[in-house]
Amino acid sequence: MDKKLSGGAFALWRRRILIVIFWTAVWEIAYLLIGRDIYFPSPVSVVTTFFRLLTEQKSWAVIGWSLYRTLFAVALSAVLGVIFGIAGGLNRTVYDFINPLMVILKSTPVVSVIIIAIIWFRSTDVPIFSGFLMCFPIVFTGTVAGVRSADPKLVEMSRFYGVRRTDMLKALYFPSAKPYINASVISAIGICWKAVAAAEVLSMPRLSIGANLFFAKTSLDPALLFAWTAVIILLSFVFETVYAKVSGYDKT
Amino acid sequence: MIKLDDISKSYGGRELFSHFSAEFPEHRVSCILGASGVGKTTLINIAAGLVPPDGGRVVFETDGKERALRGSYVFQEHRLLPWLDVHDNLDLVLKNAKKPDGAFFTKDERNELIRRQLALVGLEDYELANINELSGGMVQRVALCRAFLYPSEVLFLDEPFKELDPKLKDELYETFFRAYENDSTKRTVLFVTHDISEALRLADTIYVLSGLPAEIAGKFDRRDYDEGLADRIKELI
Repeated sequence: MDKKLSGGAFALWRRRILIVIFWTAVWEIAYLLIGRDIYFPSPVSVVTTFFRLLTEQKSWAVIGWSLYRTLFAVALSAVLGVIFGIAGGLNRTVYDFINPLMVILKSTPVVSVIIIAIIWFRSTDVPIFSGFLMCFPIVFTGTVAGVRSADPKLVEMSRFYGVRRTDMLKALYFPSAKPYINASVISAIGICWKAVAAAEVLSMPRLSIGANLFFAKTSLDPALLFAWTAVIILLSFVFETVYAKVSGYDKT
Repeated sequence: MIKLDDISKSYGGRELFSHFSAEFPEHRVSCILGASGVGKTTLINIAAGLVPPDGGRVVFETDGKERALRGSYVFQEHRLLPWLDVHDNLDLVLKNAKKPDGAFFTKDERNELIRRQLALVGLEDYELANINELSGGMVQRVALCRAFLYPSEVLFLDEPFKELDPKLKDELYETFFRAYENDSTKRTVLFVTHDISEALRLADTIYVLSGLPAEIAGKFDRRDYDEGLADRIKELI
């Protein structure tokens, strides 16, 4: 049995490695066809730049600050999204009041939010505000759907036995909504990284990945641009995976 | 006593009850027996206050005085929270329940009550078991336990043994009687079933429901029970 399992795990990893090799080969072919480093860098130069970045102390300060902004925005969206989502899921009037804002926020282009935020806030806070406004509606909508998915028969039973609202919240609504909340927070993490990076490009906080993306563009260094982008992708993937593991959510 | 007074109820243009009246005596096990679709569950839900009637009213009286109904209910499905263990499922309904003197139960009192009631239904070793780990018969015993544990005057049962095989049903009947005999409050029990043998086994009085809109086609007290009764009831249904 163990042998079978490890054989299966080996096959899975072999398949993943083959997929990575395939896409790297496609990238290399595209690079060779285009033939100009300034438009499209080679995988080798991007990987080299990526590892060079990791050896520089300043890069870690840059990553640390962007990480702080993203996590702060996600945490704020998660806490407020869950609180308002539970209130909106339980009470139609609350939902009707909040939902128009969510509809507007969901359709608002992220750059509009960023430009408004630049007027209102310090450059370091613009990405937090933008990330929050992009993620809050996602967590809110997920939580509302989760609360509404609570089994009406269990709700009826709880009401019949006179269970307190706070106990219903803890024992019934929150566990029912948990998978929805986790799914929405995981998707918010990915979106937040994108929103924060975009906001950093426009608001230019001194230590930020976004500002470094902009410098890479102005210094015509696409390998550096790709390497910083890879940092964002990697961080987003790591945090989604860590959150899924900690919360016990099955991403597949 | 539970009095259903001049009850009317329609669903989707189907008039299930029209000026229906019935009285179910205090401290007795009353059974509403009828075929599927006759409106048994609707009737018990009206009596329990879960479904409002279109017309008429439900009155609950103890010792000749009209009171607010405090009931417990064993539903067709167990309706236990699958992510809580047996203890927490039972504790959930006790937390906000009041003792006869109007005070809330302390945590120690609740724990003691839960242990005692679980022992009565033979589940003392499963207090910390997850609901998903229990068999169908065991979860219904937990649901029965919850209903007897909750301080109520009336116990409603809506075909709680419907999905069980005959052997398990027998075990559950025994569990029910054990809990009922040991119940200090001697609750008024109102249960519905389509199973004649179940009604004959559990009920002090059987009310046979039939027709559309439904009427009580026959009423049989335990002292009237005889060998031919099952056939007579079958004809009425």
